[in-house]
Amino acid sequence: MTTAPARVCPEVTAPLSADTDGDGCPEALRWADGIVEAGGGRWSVGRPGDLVVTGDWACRGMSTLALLRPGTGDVFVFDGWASPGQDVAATARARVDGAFALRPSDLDADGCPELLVERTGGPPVRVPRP
Amino acid sequence: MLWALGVVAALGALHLAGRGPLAPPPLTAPSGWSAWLEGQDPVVAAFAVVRLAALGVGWYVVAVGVAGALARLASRRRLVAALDRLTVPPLRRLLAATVTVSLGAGVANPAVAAADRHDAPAVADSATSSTTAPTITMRQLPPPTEAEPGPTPAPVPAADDRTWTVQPGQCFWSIAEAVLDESLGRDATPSEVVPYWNRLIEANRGALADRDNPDLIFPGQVFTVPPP
Repeated sequence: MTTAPARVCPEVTAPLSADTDGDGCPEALRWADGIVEAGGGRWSVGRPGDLVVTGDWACRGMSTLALLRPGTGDVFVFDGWASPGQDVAATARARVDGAFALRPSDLDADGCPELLVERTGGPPVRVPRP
Repeated sequence: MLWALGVVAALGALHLAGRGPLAPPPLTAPSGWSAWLEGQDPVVAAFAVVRLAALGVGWYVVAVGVAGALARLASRRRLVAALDRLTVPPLRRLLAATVTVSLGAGVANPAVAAADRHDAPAVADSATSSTTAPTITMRQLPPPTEAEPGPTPAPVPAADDRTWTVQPGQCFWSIAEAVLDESLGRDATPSEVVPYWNRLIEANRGALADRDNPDLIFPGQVFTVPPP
Protein backbone atom coordinates (compact mmCIF):
# COMPACT_ATOMS: atom_id res chain seq x y z
CA MET A 1 0.00 0.00 0.00
CA THR A 2 1.34 3.42 -0.85
CA THR A 3 0.45 6.69 0.73
CA ALA A 4 0.38 10.07 -0.87
CA PRO A 5 3.33 12.25 0.15
CA ALA A 6 2.46 14.86 2.73
CA ARG A 7 1.98 18.28 1.22
CA VAL A 8 4.87 20.59 2.03
CA CYS A 9 4.05 24.26 2.10
CA PRO A 10 6.69 26.91 1.59
CA GLU A 11 7.55 28.71 4.78
CA VAL A 12 5.90 32.08 5.17
CA THR A 13 7.74 34.55 7.36
CA ALA A 14 5.55 37.58 6.70
CA PRO A 15 3.77 39.00 9.74
CA LEU A 16 0.42 38.50 7.98
CA SER A 17 -0.47 35.25 6.27
CA ALA A 18 -3.54 33.21 5.32
CA ASP A 19 -4.61 30.56 2.85
CA THR A 20 -6.69 32.84 0.66
CA ASP A 21 -6.83 30.59 -2.41
CA GLY A 22 -7.76 27.37 -0.64
CA ASP A 23 -4.71 25.40 -1.78
CA GLY A 24 -3.90 24.36 1.79
CA CYS A 25 -0.85 26.58 2.08
CA PRO A 26 -0.74 30.06 3.58
CA GLU A 27 0.27 33.03 1.47
CA ALA A 28 1.95 36.19 2.72
CA LEU A 29 -0.40 39.14 2.99
CA ARG A 30 0.33 42.78 2.43
CA TRP A 31 -1.96 45.44 3.82
CA ALA A 32 -2.02 49.13 3.04
CA ASP A 33 -4.59 51.83 2.46
CA GLY A 34 -7.54 49.51 2.94
CA ILE A 35 -6.27 46.97 0.41
CA VAL A 36 -5.16 43.45 1.25
CA GLU A 37 -2.99 41.69 -1.30
CA ALA A 38 -2.07 38.00 -1.16
CA GLY A 39 -0.89 35.69 -3.90
CA GLY A 40 -2.75 36.87 -6.96
CA GLY A 41 -5.74 38.26 -5.08
CA ARG A 42 -6.66 41.70 -3.83
CA TRP A 43 -9.40 42.67 -1.43
CA SER A 44 -10.82 46.01 -0.45
CA VAL A 45 -11.50 46.16 3.28
CA GLY A 46 -11.41 48.90 5.89
CA ARG A 47 -9.74 52.25 5.41
CA PRO A 48 -6.45 54.03 6.10
CA GLY A 49 -5.67 54.06 9.81
CA ASP A 50 -7.18 50.61 10.42
CA LEU A 51 -4.99 47.78 11.69
CA VAL A 52 -5.34 44.15 10.64
CA VAL A 53 -4.14 40.78 11.87
CA THR A 54 -4.78 37.25 10.61
CA GLY A 55 -5.60 34.09 12.52
CA ASP A 56 -7.87 31.07 12.73
CA TRP A 57 -10.28 32.90 15.03
CA ALA A 58 -13.10 30.36 14.73
CA CYS A 59 -10.74 27.34 15.00
CA ARG A 60 -11.99 25.91 11.72
CA GLY A 61 -8.62 25.47 10.06
CA MET A 62 -8.89 28.71 8.07
CA SER A 63 -7.14 31.99 8.83
CA THR A 64 -9.24 35.07 8.34
CA LEU A 65 -8.85 38.77 8.87
CA ALA A 66 -9.52 40.72 12.06
CA LEU A 67 -9.55 44.50 11.83
CA LEU A 68 -9.27 47.23 14.45
CA ARG A 69 -10.43 50.78 13.84
CA PRO A 70 -8.39 52.67 16.46
CA GLY A 71 -10.49 55.84 16.20
CA THR A 72 -13.59 54.07 17.50
CA GLY A 73 -12.17 50.93 19.11
CA ASP A 74 -14.41 48.76 16.93
CA VAL A 75 -13.07 45.25 16.28
CA PHE A 76 -14.29 43.34 13.22
CA VAL A 77 -13.67 39.65 12.59
CA PHE A 78 -14.33 38.19 9.15
CA ASP A 79 -15.64 34.65 8.68
CA GLY A 80 -13.89 34.11 5.36
CA TRP A 81 -12.49 35.71 2.25
CA ALA A 82 -14.58 37.47 -0.36
CA SER A 83 -14.70 35.92 -3.81
CA PRO A 84 -15.62 37.58 -7.09
CA GLY A 85 -19.19 38.83 -6.75
CA GLN A 86 -19.47 37.43 -3.23
CA ASP A 87 -18.71 40.10 -0.64
CA VAL A 88 -18.18 39.21 3.00
CA ALA A 89 -19.52 41.52 5.70
CA ALA A 90 -18.37 41.74 9.30
CA THR A 91 -20.25 43.43 12.10
CA ALA A 92 -18.21 44.94 14.92
CA ARG A 93 -17.67 42.11 17.41
CA ALA A 94 -16.44 44.38 20.20
CA ARG A 95 -15.76 48.01 21.03
CA VAL A 96 -12.73 48.70 23.21
CA ASP A 97 -11.93 52.17 24.49
CA GLY A 98 -8.30 53.13 23.89
CA ALA A 99 -7.67 50.16 21.60
CA PHE A 100 -4.42 50.53 19.69
CA ALA A 101 -3.42 47.04 18.51
CA LEU A 102 -4.63 43.49 17.91
CA ARG A 103 -2.65 40.46 18.99
CA PRO A 104 -3.26 36.72 18.53
CA SER A 105 -2.60 34.55 21.57
CA ASP A 106 -3.53 30.91 22.15
CA LEU A 107 -4.76 31.36 25.70
CA ASP A 108 -6.56 28.04 26.06
CA ALA A 109 -3.86 26.03 24.25
CA ASP A 110 -6.29 24.49 21.77
CA GLY A 111 -4.01 25.26 18.84
CA CYS A 112 -6.09 28.23 17.70
CA PRO A 113 -5.43 31.84 18.66
CA GLU A 114 -7.75 34.03 20.64
CA LEU A 115 -7.95 37.65 19.56
CA LEU A 116 -6.60 40.11 22.11
CA VAL A 117 -7.08 43.85 21.94
CA GLU A 118 -4.30 45.97 23.41
CA ARG A 119 -5.59 49.17 24.95
CA THR A 120 -4.35 52.20 26.81
CA GLY A 121 -5.12 52.38 30.50
CA GLY A 122 -5.63 48.67 31.11
CA PRO A 123 -4.63 45.10 30.34
CA PRO A 124 -5.59 43.58 27.00
CA VAL A 125 -9.10 42.24 26.58
CA ARG A 126 -10.20 39.15 24.68
CA VAL A 127 -12.71 39.20 21.85
CA PRO A 128 -15.06 36.24 22.37
CA ARG A 129 -15.28 33.55 19.74
CA PRO A 130 -18.50 33.35 17.74
CA MET B 1 -12.74 24.62 38.95
CA LEU B 2 -15.62 24.91 41.41
CA TRP B 3 -18.14 24.10 38.72
CA ALA B 4 -16.43 20.77 38.07
CA LEU B 5 -16.53 19.87 41.76
CA GLY B 6 -20.18 20.88 41.80
CA VAL B 7 -20.96 18.57 38.89
CA VAL B 8 -19.17 15.66 40.55
CA ALA B 9 -20.97 16.27 43.85
CA ALA B 10 -24.34 16.49 42.08
CA LEU B 11 -23.67 13.24 40.25
CA GLY B 12 -22.81 11.52 43.52
CA ALA B 13 -26.00 12.78 45.13
CA LEU B 14 -28.07 11.65 42.16
CA HIS B 15 -26.56 8.19 42.26
CA LEU B 16 -27.25 7.92 45.99
CA ALA B 17 -30.83 9.04 45.43
CA GLY B 18 -31.28 6.15 43.03
CA ARG B 19 -30.82 3.66 45.84
CA GLY B 20 -34.03 4.76 47.54
CA PRO B 21 -37.54 5.36 46.27
CA LEU B 22 -36.17 7.08 43.15
CA ALA B 23 -34.71 3.82 41.85
CA PRO B 24 -34.93 3.74 38.07
CA PRO B 25 -36.99 1.35 35.98
CA PRO B 26 -35.17 -1.67 34.52
CA LEU B 27 -33.41 0.22 31.75
CA THR B 28 -32.27 -2.85 29.89
CA ALA B 29 -35.73 -4.50 29.92
CA PRO B 30 -38.32 -2.21 28.33
CA SER B 31 -41.01 -4.82 28.91
CA GLY B 32 -40.73 -4.17 32.63
CA TRP B 33 -41.24 -0.40 32.40
CA SER B 34 -45.04 -0.50 32.56
CA ALA B 35 -44.94 -2.79 35.61
CA TRP B 36 -42.44 -0.43 37.26
CA LEU B 37 -44.67 2.58 36.50
CA GLU B 38 -47.78 0.89 37.92
CA GLY B 39 -45.97 0.14 41.14
CA GLN B 40 -44.90 3.75 41.68
CA ASP B 41 -46.59 6.82 43.02
CA PRO B 42 -46.88 9.16 39.98
CA VAL B 43 -44.94 11.94 41.67
CA VAL B 44 -42.14 9.57 42.70
CA ALA B 45 -42.07 8.12 39.20
CA ALA B 46 -41.74 11.62 37.72
CA PHE B 47 -38.86 12.45 40.02
CA ALA B 48 -37.18 9.15 39.16
CA VAL B 49 -37.34 10.06 35.47
CA VAL B 50 -36.03 13.56 36.19
CA ARG B 51 -33.16 11.99 38.15
CA LEU B 52 -32.30 9.81 35.18
CA ALA B 53 -32.33 12.80 32.84
CA ALA B 54 -30.15 14.79 35.23
CA LEU B 55 -27.72 11.89 35.43
CA GLY B 56 -27.54 11.81 31.65
CA VAL B 57 -26.80 15.54 31.48
CA GLY B 58 -24.25 15.28 34.27
CA TRP B 59 -22.31 12.47 32.66
CA TYR B 60 -22.43 14.27 29.32
CA VAL B 61 -20.88 17.33 30.98
CA VAL B 62 -18.21 15.19 32.63
CA ALA B 63 -17.42 13.31 29.41
CA VAL B 64 -17.03 16.34 27.16
CA GLY B 65 -15.35 18.30 29.95
CA VAL B 66 -12.67 15.73 30.65
CA ALA B 67 -12.12 14.93 26.98
CA GLY B 68 -12.01 18.63 26.05
CA ALA B 69 -9.59 19.49 28.84
CA LEU B 70 -7.25 16.63 27.91
CA ALA B 71 -7.40 17.56 24.22
CA ARG B 72 -6.60 21.18 25.03
CA LEU B 73 -3.75 20.29 27.33
CA ALA B 74 -2.33 18.02 24.63
CA SER B 75 -2.93 20.76 22.01
CA ARG B 76 -4.84 18.29 19.81
CA ARG B 77 -6.45 20.89 17.63
CA ARG B 78 -8.68 18.60 15.53
CA LEU B 79 -9.92 16.74 18.59
CA VAL B 80 -10.71 20.02 20.35
CA ALA B 81 -12.66 21.22 17.32
CA ALA B 82 -14.60 17.93 17.13
CA LEU B 83 -15.40 18.00 20.85
CA ASP B 84 -16.40 21.64 20.66
CA ARG B 85 -19.01 20.67 18.09
CA LEU B 86 -20.47 18.25 20.63
CA THR B 87 -20.44 20.82 23.41
CA VAL B 88 -23.07 23.44 24.06
CA PRO B 89 -21.57 26.98 23.85
CA PRO B 90 -21.92 27.90 27.57
CA LEU B 91 -20.12 24.71 28.59
CA ARG B 92 -17.48 25.28 25.91
CA ARG B 93 -16.72 28.74 27.28
CA LEU B 94 -16.63 27.40 30.82
CA LEU B 95 -14.26 24.65 29.79
CA ALA B 96 -11.96 27.02 27.90
CA ALA B 97 -11.89 29.40 30.85
CA THR B 98 -11.09 26.55 33.25
CA VAL B 99 -8.18 25.31 31.16
CA THR B 100 -6.96 28.88 30.71
CA VAL B 101 -6.94 29.47 34.44
CA SER B 102 -5.06 26.19 34.96
CA LEU B 103 -2.45 27.20 32.40
CA GLY B 104 -2.11 30.65 33.88
CA ALA B 105 -1.46 29.10 37.27
CA GLY B 106 1.32 27.01 35.78
CA VAL B 107 -0.29 23.80 36.99
CA ALA B 108 -1.04 21.88 33.86
CA ASN B 109 1.36 23.03 31.19
CA PRO B 110 4.20 25.23 32.39
CA ALA B 111 5.64 25.66 28.90
CA VAL B 112 2.49 27.22 27.54
CA ALA B 113 1.91 29.20 30.70
CA ALA B 114 5.39 30.66 30.47
CA ALA B 115 4.76 31.75 26.91
CA ASP B 116 1.64 33.62 27.92
CA ARG B 117 1.98 34.39 31.58
CA HIS B 118 -0.70 36.83 32.58
CA ASP B 119 -4.13 36.67 34.09
CA ALA B 120 -6.86 35.49 31.79
CA PRO B 121 -7.87 38.63 29.91
CA ALA B 122 -11.29 40.06 30.41
CA VAL B 123 -13.75 39.58 27.61
CA ALA B 124 -14.29 42.67 25.51
CA ASP B 125 -17.68 44.32 25.57
CA SER B 126 -19.76 43.65 22.50
CA ALA B 127 -19.86 46.62 20.14
CA THR B 128 -23.46 47.69 20.57
CA SER B 129 -26.77 46.14 19.76
CA SER B 130 -26.79 44.11 16.58
CA THR B 131 -28.93 46.72 14.86
CA THR B 132 -26.55 49.61 15.48
CA ALA B 133 -23.15 47.93 15.45
CA PRO B 134 -21.07 49.17 12.52
CA THR B 135 -20.44 46.80 9.64
CA ILE B 136 -17.65 46.72 7.10
CA THR B 137 -17.49 44.75 3.89
CA MET B 138 -14.68 42.88 2.21
CA ARG B 139 -14.76 42.83 -1.59
CA GLN B 140 -12.42 41.04 -3.93
CA LEU B 141 -10.88 43.33 -6.52
CA PRO B 142 -9.63 42.51 -9.98
CA PRO B 143 -5.87 41.92 -10.26
CA PRO B 144 -3.81 45.10 -10.51
CA THR B 145 -2.77 46.30 -13.92
CA GLU B 146 0.65 47.68 -14.77
CA ALA B 147 -0.67 51.19 -14.33
CA GLU B 148 -2.18 50.30 -10.96
CA PRO B 149 0.42 48.58 -8.83
CA GLY B 150 -0.63 46.88 -5.63
CA PRO B 151 -0.06 48.36 -2.22
CA THR B 152 3.48 48.55 -0.96
CA PRO B 153 4.12 49.46 2.64
CA ALA B 154 6.92 51.82 1.70
CA PRO B 155 8.96 52.97 4.69
CA VAL B 156 9.49 56.44 3.30
CA PRO B 157 6.85 57.37 0.75
CA ALA B 158 7.40 60.20 -1.67
CA ALA B 159 5.88 63.52 -0.83
CA ASP B 160 3.07 63.17 -3.33
CA ASP B 161 1.85 59.91 -1.79
CA ARG B 162 -1.46 60.26 -0.09
CA THR B 163 -0.73 57.98 2.84
CA TRP B 164 2.09 57.21 5.23
CA THR B 165 2.68 53.91 7.01
CA VAL B 166 4.18 54.64 10.42
CA GLN B 167 7.53 53.01 11.09
CA PRO B 168 9.04 52.36 14.53
CA GLY B 169 10.37 55.54 16.08
CA GLN B 170 8.31 57.90 13.95
CA CYS B 171 5.98 60.58 15.26
CA PHE B 172 3.82 63.21 13.58
CA TRP B 173 6.65 65.75 13.78
CA SER B 174 9.17 63.48 12.03
CA ILE B 175 6.59 62.55 9.40
CA ALA B 176 5.76 66.21 8.77
CA GLU B 177 9.45 67.05 8.60
CA ALA B 178 10.15 64.24 6.11
CA VAL B 179 7.24 65.19 3.87
CA LEU B 180 8.26 68.86 3.84
CA ASP B 181 11.95 68.06 3.26
CA GLU B 182 10.96 66.00 0.25
CA SER B 183 8.63 68.67 -1.04
CA LEU B 184 11.05 71.58 -0.56
CA GLY B 185 14.17 69.73 -1.64
CA ARG B 186 15.96 70.93 1.49
CA ASP B 187 15.67 70.69 5.24
CA ALA B 188 12.50 72.41 6.41
CA THR B 189 12.86 74.88 9.25
CA PRO B 190 10.90 74.37 12.47
CA SER B 191 8.70 77.37 11.67
CA GLU B 192 7.84 75.75 8.33
CA VAL B 193 7.14 72.40 9.94
CA VAL B 194 4.80 73.64 12.69
CA PRO B 195 1.79 74.59 10.51
CA TYR B 196 2.07 71.46 8.39
CA TRP B 197 2.51 69.34 11.54
CA ASN B 198 -0.78 70.76 12.85
CA ARG B 199 -2.54 70.08 9.54
CA LEU B 200 -1.19 66.52 9.50
CA ILE B 201 -2.53 65.84 12.99
CA GLU B 202 -5.94 67.30 12.21
CA ALA B 203 -6.16 65.26 9.00
CA ASN B 204 -5.65 62.06 11.02
CA ARG B 205 -7.29 62.80 14.34
CA GLY B 206 -10.09 60.38 13.59
CA ALA B 207 -7.61 57.52 13.24
CA LEU B 208 -5.89 58.11 16.57
CA ALA B 209 -6.25 55.66 19.44
CA ASP B 210 -6.74 58.70 21.68
CA ARG B 211 -8.07 61.69 19.78
CA ASP B 212 -6.52 64.07 22.29
CA ASN B 213 -3.08 62.48 22.24
CA PRO B 214 -1.39 62.70 18.83
CA ASP B 215 1.83 61.47 20.44
CA LEU B 216 0.21 58.04 20.76
CA ILE B 217 0.70 56.45 17.34
CA PHE B 218 1.91 52.99 16.47
CA PRO B 219 4.01 51.29 13.81
CA GLY B 220 1.81 50.00 11.03
CA GLN B 221 -0.82 52.71 11.28
CA VAL B 222 -1.54 54.30 7.93
CA PHE B 223 -2.16 58.04 7.95
CA THR B 224 -3.41 60.42 5.35
CA VAL B 225 -0.76 62.89 4.16
CA PRO B 226 -2.25 66.22 3.05
CA PRO B 227 -0.47 68.14 0.29
CA PRO B 228 2.35 70.29 1.78
